Amino acid sequence: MALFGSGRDANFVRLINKELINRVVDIEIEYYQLATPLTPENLYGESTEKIFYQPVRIPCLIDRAEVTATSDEGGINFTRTSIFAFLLDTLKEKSIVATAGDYIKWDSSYYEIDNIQLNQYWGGKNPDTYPGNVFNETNEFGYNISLIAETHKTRIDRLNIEQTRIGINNNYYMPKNL
Amino acid sequence: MAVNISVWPGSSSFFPGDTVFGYYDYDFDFQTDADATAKWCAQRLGYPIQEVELQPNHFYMAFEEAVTEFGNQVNMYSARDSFMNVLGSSTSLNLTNRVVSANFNGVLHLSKEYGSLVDTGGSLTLYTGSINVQSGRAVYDITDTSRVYFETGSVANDAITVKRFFHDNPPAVARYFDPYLGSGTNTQLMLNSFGWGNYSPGVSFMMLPMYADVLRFQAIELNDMIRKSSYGFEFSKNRLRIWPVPTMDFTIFFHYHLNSERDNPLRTPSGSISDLSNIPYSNMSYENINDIGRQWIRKYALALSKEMLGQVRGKYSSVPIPNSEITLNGADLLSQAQTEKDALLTELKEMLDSFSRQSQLERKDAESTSLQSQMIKIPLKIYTA
Repeated sequence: MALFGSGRDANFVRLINKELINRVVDIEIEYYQLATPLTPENLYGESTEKIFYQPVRIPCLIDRAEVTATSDEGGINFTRTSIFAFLLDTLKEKSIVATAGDYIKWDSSYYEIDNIQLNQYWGGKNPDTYPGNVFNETNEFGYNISLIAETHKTRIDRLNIEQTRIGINNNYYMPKNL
Repeated sequence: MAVNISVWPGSSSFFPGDTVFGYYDYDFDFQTDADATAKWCAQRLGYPIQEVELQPNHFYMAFEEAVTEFGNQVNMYSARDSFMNVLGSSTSLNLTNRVVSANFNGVLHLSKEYGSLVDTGGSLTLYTGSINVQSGRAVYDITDTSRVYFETGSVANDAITVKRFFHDNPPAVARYFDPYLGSGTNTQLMLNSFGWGNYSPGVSFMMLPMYADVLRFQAIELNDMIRKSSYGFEFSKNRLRIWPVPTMDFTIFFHYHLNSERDNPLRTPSGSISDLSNIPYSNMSYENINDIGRQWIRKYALALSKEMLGQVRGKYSSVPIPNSEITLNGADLLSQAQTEKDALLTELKEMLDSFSRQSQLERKDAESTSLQSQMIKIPLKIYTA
């Protein structure tokens, strides 16, 4: 049985994280979780438009790269990769099961999640899978801290969440596909 | 199931048993101040802007320790001041918050040992022994069990220190009326000539000046010194030689101490105050501590709380956060706490030093000197006729 990294210590780390991320830093994003059951798919299992659940505001830490511009025959593309780091406890509290393909709105931009990292274990142990915990042989040890979402900025008009081209018929301006 | 341990919730409600030792738990003032101090400390540590990773019991514990530390320091200084006055007194006394009279107990305690050695009192018992002297024999062994008797102790086994032998010339007054003395008084003849010689004792009718008696004593003693063998003795180790060689059997008495009693360092009965560890000072009643003391206690409780918080935040040098890690201010808190504790203790010790009897007397002396120097400058009235 380990001496350090017990449930008590993990509780302390959790408290510090919650205070830091929820109260001190307090950068909130809107998380758009893909509503897979509601998204229609075609003959080939593809969907032409995506349906999302109502966005959920979640505090997180953001590591954003510089904006890069590429040009091709279609014109100039601006893109940017960003890493959104969530406290896993917060996601659990809000019943969010993050997956690749979900979207994050931050700073008026949408980021599509490309990859999810779930391997930041304090003390090297994930209490959900650590055998001592699972089989109730020891007290709780370790702490699964975060969910890291690697994303890239995406075009708003691909999402059908916001009306991006506004004509003269302002009465129809409303969010779509929610 | 994750362990969920709450931290400072913003307020608390003290209940007896919430402290570790429970010295003051039933003191109403302590109960009231415990919650107020806890709140004050938490807010001084950043709450509610920041979480304070301590629980109410931590603050209560710091508060209790601060009260105890304050009482301990005050008691130690009182003990230092009064030690000589209470040395050897019963440990069943309670000197806490009591004025200890400035008596001579300690001085007398030391003086007794000197007095014991020179037979002017002291704490040693002076016993009486005797030697049966045999006619014609001048040398005796003090350990001879057939001749020597001790009031207390064993002649054969106990070492003694002889303080005095009673072997002196018979006192002159015993032979004041010795008809064979040869010093002559002439009073009997004179009384006979008046016809009072048949009354007995005839000298009852004589009124002589005091110097006549003194002169007669001196004459007897001078006569003994010149014409008779001098009384004396020589005592070496266990061997006693007496002069003059006895012409009859008699008993010589002597005074002695038992060496075992003289050398016994534990003559004071058990249960007596001997050192700092058993001077009967106990924890103070919180309700008796004034506001000066209470403010010190609050500050010290804060320093202790800061120290505990520093320990909590400093257990792990860095704490992971999503995709990164941070360093908490545990080391800073510990350093600050140590500095504050040292400063508070130094302040209290200096204050207590200034309250010692010696310091107070020096202050009064300085006051008196200053007052005199002021008064001396006030012009005296000049009366003119």
